[in-house]
Amino acid sequence: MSHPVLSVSEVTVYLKEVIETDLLLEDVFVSGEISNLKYYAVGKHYYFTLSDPVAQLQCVIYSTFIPAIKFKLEEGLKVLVRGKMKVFQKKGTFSFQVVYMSLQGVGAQSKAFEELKNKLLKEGLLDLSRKKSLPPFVSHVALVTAFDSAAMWDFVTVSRQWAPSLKITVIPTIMQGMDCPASVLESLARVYRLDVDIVVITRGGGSAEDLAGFNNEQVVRAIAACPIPTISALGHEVDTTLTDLVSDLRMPTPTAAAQHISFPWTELQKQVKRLLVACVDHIELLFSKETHKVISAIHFIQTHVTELHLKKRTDLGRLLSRLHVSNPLHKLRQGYSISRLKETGEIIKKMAQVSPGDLIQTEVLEGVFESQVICHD
Amino acid sequence: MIEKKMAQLEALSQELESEDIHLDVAVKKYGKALALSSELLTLLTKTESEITVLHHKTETLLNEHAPSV
Repeated sequence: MSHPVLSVSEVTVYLKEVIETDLLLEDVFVSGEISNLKYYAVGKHYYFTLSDPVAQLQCVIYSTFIPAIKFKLEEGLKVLVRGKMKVFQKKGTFSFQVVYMSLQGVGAQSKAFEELKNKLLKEGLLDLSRKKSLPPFVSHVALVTAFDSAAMWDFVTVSRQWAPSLKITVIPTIMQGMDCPASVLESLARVYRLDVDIVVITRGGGSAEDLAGFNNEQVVRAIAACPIPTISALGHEVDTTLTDLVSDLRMPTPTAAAQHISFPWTELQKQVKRLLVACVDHIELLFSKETHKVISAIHFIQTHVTELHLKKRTDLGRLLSRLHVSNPLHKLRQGYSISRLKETGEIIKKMAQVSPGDLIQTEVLEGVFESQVICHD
Repeated sequence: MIEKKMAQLEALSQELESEDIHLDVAVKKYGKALALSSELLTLLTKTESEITVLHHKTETLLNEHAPSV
């Protein structure tokens, strides 16, 4: 027997007929807690989630029915709503259209949240004084988050950009749903075995139900007892969980957490760069001064060598002048001669040196001749 | 070298200026002094040329390594 094959349209049309014509769902009262409340100004209607501890129902209340509600809609309120189920074929979704709503009090989840919060307050686990200081320079961070999630990549990308040396160990964790608390506890146990400076617990935005795991008492107590400083960056800034309250630091987003951790590194890098530039400037200045000294010394040597050379030139010129005057042949060419006593070789300069009969040798330019003194005055 | 030769030339010059020097000796010493003078002139000219080259090389070196600040 072959099964009938239906198109998507046929299935959604069938669902629409079944759900919207069902006598029970046509006009029903539902009790639950409001969360994810959003007001759309254009259509002037509210969207919200009605939930109990195990299930959720997407609801809408159009502007026509809003005036009938006699209290201010808020998240966490426990309400009784009346309405009918509506199927949207194009998207394949369904929604509960509310026509009336009455207040039943504070919801069970909100109540549990407040009770646990008060309990933790009394125990002092939320005291600011017990929050651990973060190390100024984080070298190794344990990132407790869903693997390959947008939150993980936001954190990793920003960290790589501003603090490339930061070591990040991702601890893949289930960050929403029933299994979230156990998974977070297991991840924290793994973190203890790592040599990390801080733990960052992060995920993107979500509904109050998505973040419920982070209000789990065991999770909150485990984070409070964690000896390693913790940063929580869960959801958006408006979503406060008890994990945020017990963490040592709460950041609004994964990106903000990464920036906070990277900031000291980027500042340090800037400081080191400034110091290096100052060092280089100082060295260049010193080098310049020393270079000027060397240049001055070289110019002094150049001048000294030049002056020394000129002095030698002058000395030689003076000596050559003296030599010119001392040229022995110069006077002989003019007709002067040199006479000596033959016996002693003594040059005759005075009359008293000679006596009649002395033999005399006389040098002229071309030779020597002898003569004898006959008489003198 | 220049200093030594200058000293020799100075000594020869003084000897030539001596009143008792014989003409033949004076002529020899004068010839020696002239040769020495010629050597000195050559040496000084060579030195001058070397100094000029060194000056040029030094200026080139200084220009190449002139400080930037």
